[in-house]
Amino acid sequence: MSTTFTIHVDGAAIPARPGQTIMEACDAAGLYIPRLCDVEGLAPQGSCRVCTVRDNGRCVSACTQPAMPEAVIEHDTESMNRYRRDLVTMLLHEGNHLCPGCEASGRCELQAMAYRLGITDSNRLPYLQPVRPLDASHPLWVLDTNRCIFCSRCIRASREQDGKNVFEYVGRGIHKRLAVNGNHLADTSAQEGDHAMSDGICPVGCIIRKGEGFSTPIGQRRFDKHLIGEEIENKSGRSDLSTEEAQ
Amino acid sequence: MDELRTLILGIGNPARGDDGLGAAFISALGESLPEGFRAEACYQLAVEDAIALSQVDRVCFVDASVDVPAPFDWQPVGADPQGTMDSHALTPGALLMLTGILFNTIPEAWVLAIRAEETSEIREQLSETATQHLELALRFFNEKAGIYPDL
Amino acid sequence: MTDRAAPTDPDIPVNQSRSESRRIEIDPITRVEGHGKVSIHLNSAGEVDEARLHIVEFRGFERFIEGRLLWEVPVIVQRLCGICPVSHHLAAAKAMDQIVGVDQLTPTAEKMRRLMHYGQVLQSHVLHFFHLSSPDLLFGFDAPAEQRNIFAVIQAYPELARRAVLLRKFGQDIIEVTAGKKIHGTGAIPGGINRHLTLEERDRLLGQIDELTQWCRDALKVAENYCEQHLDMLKSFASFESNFLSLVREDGALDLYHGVLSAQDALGHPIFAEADLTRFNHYLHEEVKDWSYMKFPFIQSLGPESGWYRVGPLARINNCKGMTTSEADLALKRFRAVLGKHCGHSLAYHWARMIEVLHCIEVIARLLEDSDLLTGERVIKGVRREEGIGMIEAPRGTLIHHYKVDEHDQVQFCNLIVSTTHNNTAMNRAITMVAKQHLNGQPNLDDALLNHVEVAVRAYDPCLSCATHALGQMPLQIELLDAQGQRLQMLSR
Repeated sequence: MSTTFTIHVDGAAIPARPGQTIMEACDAAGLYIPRLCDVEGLAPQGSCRVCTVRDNGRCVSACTQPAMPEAVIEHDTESMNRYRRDLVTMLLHEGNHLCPGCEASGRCELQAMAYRLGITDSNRLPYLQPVRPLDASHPLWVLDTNRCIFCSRCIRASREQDGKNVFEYVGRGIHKRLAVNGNHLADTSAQEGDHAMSDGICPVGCIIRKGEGFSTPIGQRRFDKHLIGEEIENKSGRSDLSTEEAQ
Repeated sequence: MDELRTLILGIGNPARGDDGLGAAFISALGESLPEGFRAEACYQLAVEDAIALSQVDRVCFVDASVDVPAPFDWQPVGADPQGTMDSHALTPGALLMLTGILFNTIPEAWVLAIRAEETSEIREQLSETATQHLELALRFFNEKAGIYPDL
Repeated sequence: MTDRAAPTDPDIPVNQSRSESRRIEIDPITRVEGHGKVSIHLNSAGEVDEARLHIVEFRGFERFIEGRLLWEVPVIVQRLCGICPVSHHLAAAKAMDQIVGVDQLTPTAEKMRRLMHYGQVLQSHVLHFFHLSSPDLLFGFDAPAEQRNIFAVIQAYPELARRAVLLRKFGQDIIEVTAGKKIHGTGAIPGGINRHLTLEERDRLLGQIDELTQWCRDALKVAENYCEQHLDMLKSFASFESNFLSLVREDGALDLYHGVLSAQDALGHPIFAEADLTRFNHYLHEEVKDWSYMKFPFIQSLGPESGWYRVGPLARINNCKGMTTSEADLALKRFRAVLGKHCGHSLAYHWARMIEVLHCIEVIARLLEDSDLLTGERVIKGVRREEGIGMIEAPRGTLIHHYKVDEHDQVQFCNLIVSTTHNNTAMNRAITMVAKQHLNGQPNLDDALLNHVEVAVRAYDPCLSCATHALGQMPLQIELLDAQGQRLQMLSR
């Protein structure tokens, strides 16, 4: 069963095992495919489409698509990157993402992705400027859904890991938004220790822990020193380095 | 061979509507500029910017303007002994003048003035028109500077 | 920057014989200071009745901040001002300290904040003196505008100017290492600070201290010499008695970061001294006038007529018993030997400001030697409160931030009293005096009047907490209007 095979990503041969997704195979090889909805520890669901690649000519989400022997994958190309830029740009316009006043700045995956993809402010999309009330009812967390990017990581974490249903979407299409299982967050069963409320689940500044904003100084925040995805790209690089040091 | 060193200074307050054009321009240029290029946003020019100017060969001041024709205006600018250095801010010409006097060097300079519509409202967003002007100005600038020839 | 009369404007009738009561308007406020205008009201005999500084202040702040979370406030407020964002950052942080129940920060947190603040005051004062006032002072403000040009000063004193620029840079560097960035930093958080100074940062700053301190001494000397050589002018130009308000350290020493709110009258008698800053509104009230968006604060016990006061460097120098650093303390003694204990000259602000410059660099040097900056507890929390009042001596004077925050951490109420507002009445008084001296019997607009008014206003270094500045929005005009509001004459540059 453990026979490996090869997939070809932008011409490079990448080893893969049966049952791996394209993304898993690429991660293992130190090749980072941008992503927002996928996060370690939760079942992938392929909803943000930022990880879209061409698999034998067909657009698929790399986080859900199984790697198949000899698959020809198009990933880091102008057309794929443009597609990803468009998706992330639309997210930036759909919500209120005013980085300088946002405490997630510097650790926000959306912001980091925009930097990585070289997104400019310049385009003709309108800003939708949602005006959704802040839910500060809970003693531990605030919910600012104006910053939600519909990754559903909190929904999945609550369901899969916590065995709860604190979060769910309501509405459809452009009216879709994140809601909680109660009038306010304080009315739900969300509590300390929930995976859904933990660091790293919400990729943006939508679920924020109270009283901790801005406590990490500029320069020491998650993405201050490196681009998002570099930890995956550096996996192989780091082992090389340690080998060199060892000698 | 050392490349020419180029500084791009975006001027303005992003919390005042279209006054944020300069800052938006800088953030639009992104993080990964080619070798030799440096971009910075500031609320307004200040005297200590003369230090930075003395260390480059070329400078481009990007600012919002309500009195240039849409979408933008691109003009060379030189040291201006009549330039305003009043109160807390300076004009580009005055800053160049100051740089010349203090550090005996004046970089080649341009002003990219992008047409603004609304700059007095407290609003952290560009108007739609200004956004279009910004895009055209960026295209123009990138071609001019050869930053993103494929844009 | 050439001055020109603008009678060619077809909309502006030039007709001085039309009315008995006239109003002359001057607009010396350039773009970064917002939109302002000075009107000089003449009585029927052509004598100056009253002068008013009109300021159109942006009042969008409450909307900006309402409903936001308390720890966001120090970061968001500084975005409204490109001139002294650090003052707002720290005043808001001090208010939020109280809301998170912290009355006494850890030594590390307080010293980091002090370093940030003194760095800021240093760079602000240096800029103001060298690049704003020095043309007026060094060449005299009766000189034509071209000659009072800053470049003429710089060419005459290039070393002075170069040093000023490098001192500015030093102040900005301090802000950067304490707040994380030169603008829009995040250093101060409710209950403390989010970073230490690194050894490398400390040593880099400390390495420059000796040279910069010498420059500050030299700069102070310029102000001292000027004032001593122009005593007559100091005494006659916009000099008047007033009350003075500032924070003063508990033992009476000058302190820019924290202290007892103290008001003294023109003779130096205490009007009040309140250590509990949350009670400030028992002492200060605000009056609204129909011709200005800016409020007119006054000392409640004295009433609006005589309760007005001045803030800023001169107020601090007048109110304090002494300085906590040795050289600045000597400078203070020289100041008092020449000008007396309770000086009312508007132009003495410049001297006072430069004493503070020397004081700032001395304090910075002392702080940088303190190992608390490098290690130690950064943040603490206490018992939650609903209301917080943050006060700080900003470069231009006492800055007050007042917030109420609900049990969910959301801001419900916000009121700011900025330095320029405190000086509102005083600036009007100064302009009135200048206009009376200059205009009586000769209600004509000329460059000299414009210059004098500018010099009087600039002594107070007004800042209107607004940084709109698009090119082409920098009018500088003088207007003459009659009682019906008709413009009779205008001078613009």
